[in-house]
Amino acid sequence: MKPVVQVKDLETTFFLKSGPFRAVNRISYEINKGETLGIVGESGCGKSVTSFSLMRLIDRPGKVTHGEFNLNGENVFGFSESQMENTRGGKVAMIFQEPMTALNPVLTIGYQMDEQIQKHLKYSNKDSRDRAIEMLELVGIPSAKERYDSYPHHLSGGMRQRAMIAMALSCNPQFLIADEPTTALDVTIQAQILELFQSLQEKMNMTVQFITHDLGVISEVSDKVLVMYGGHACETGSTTDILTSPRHPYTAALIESRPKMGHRVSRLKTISGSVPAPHELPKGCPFANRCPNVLSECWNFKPQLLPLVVASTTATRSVACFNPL
Amino acid sequence: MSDIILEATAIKKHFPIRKGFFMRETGQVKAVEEINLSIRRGETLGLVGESGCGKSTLGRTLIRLYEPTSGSIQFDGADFLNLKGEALRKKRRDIQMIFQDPYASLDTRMTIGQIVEQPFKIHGLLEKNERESRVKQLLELVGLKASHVNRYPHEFSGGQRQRISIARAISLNPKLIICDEPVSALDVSIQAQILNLLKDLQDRFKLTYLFISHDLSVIEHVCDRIAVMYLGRIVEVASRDELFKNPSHPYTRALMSSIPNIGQGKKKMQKILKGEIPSPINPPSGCAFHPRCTYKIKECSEINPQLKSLTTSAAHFKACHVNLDTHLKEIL
Repeated sequence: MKPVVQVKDLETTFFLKSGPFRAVNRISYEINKGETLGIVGESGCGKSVTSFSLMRLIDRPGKVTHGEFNLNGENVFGFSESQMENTRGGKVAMIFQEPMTALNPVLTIGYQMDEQIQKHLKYSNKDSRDRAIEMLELVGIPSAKERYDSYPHHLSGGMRQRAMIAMALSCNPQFLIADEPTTALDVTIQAQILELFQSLQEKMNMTVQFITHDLGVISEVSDKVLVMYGGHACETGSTTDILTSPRHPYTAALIESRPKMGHRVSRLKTISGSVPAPHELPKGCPFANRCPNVLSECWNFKPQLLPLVVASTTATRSVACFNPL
Repeated sequence: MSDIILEATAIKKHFPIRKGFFMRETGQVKAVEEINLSIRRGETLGLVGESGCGKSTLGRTLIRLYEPTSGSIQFDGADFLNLKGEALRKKRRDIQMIFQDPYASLDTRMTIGQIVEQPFKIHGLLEKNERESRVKQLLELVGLKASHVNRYPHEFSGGQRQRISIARAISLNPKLIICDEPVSALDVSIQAQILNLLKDLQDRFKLTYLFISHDLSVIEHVCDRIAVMYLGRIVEVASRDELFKNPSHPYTRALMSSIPNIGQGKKKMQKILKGEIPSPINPPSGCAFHPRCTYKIKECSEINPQLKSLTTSAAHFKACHVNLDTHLKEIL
């Protein structure tokens, strides 16, 4: 079976006054139909830039400088601007972190949904209204008919995020990108949204790229994980493998630095220092200056993401490290 | 010296809502309702709850950043709410605060040296050269370089800024520090560094913390005792081990089961709380949690439950009419 999403050697560069800075450095991955890929990393690791690059939403001074994005065999980066307009919100949809800034505050929820449905599905006014209300009901918004005429500020944070999800799914996208969709929400509301995600995925067999910094969230929604650091891919593999036996020192440190319920330790393990500024990244492996297992070659050569041979599993697993755990 | 450093009794904080040309009072946001809380010397008391439950308002009221609507606060042997002028200023040295957002809580036009020096100036302590050496000492204590005194906050990362806030908070050797979500704006790896720093400082200076957070896993890691808040009230208080072993309020249980955990793979979520936190302007009658509670009985919508100790453990308090254990047995 061919994967729905194929990203090959994606590279996004920002041409700043201080010189070019590569926010995403030759990242490749594939997502099969019905699968969820979790992209995890700390702020500034390039996970959001990766998604914006796929949607071709990177503005100057940034530019996708290399790579391919194939969606069901079509090369999206080769699309004309008008083809791209038909793709965004249609074939590929995106959910953003902060629903209040992503929704237009002076237009009703219904208006914003209709706009999208009429553009992509060519529905009449009445049909698009029905479709919008059906979607609002699907994501569990109570009294969806009234909410159709509400403005975003009438809704609470959790409801706004549900409306965003309804909007994203309204045109039956082939691929959904969710960029930190639960980060701005409370834990109990986050749990509701994650449950919604799971049930929608079962119903609609969606292909999802789910971006978050929270390893707990990743563990509950995704089938496989890509760990990013400083614009590079560190490690990829199935969620269980990555979270239970990480091979890259960064993944391991990230997992250990998180307080775990029911496993109290007197001190948390930390990663010394902080994520270096883009122009201060080491020449070799981006994690070299904070890595406990650093070797001399780490400073001078960039490790490639290479497949690991794991005898016990058939799952593919790769790590970019000269000295994996 | 008494064992209790701060005792708050029946603290209420209502914010008026004013509308119209004459700014007439049209309602009240009941942010904090009748809270009784005592903090023991040397402990870390956790205050956990979702946004809008009043945990930050309570923290700010305890330090008198907000004047409470009613109630009393005994702090370290003094009637804190009735202190005035010089006496109040002296007492305030002993209680300090660390804020959530390290980008908003530091003055961008002051160097970090000036920021950390400010408490000494306000309280008229130490000579100029003594202050300078003390500031350098404090910066090193929180893991920054003394040579950075002349830099401005924008030159530092979020974690480093939070270290500056901590240096400022401990500068006057306070007895109690109110930490209002000190790590929620930080990345996980940085969060661990700050939590470890807070722990080291506590051991070294015998500090008492009131630790406010929405994150139960962080709370479990740092706190000795935990108070759970919902819509302006405390619904459960117990020692950490007791609370996690035997959560007795339905809200505490729901909160615990909502936390995503690593390594269990994709699983069906259980016991998810339906609905959202109601508005504190017009809270539900009786128990504020009853519209979302799966165990509610008739009394819940009529009588507001008081915080009472459990029959099984005298140090474990909850405000709930329902006995969850018998309830669970009935179901089984």
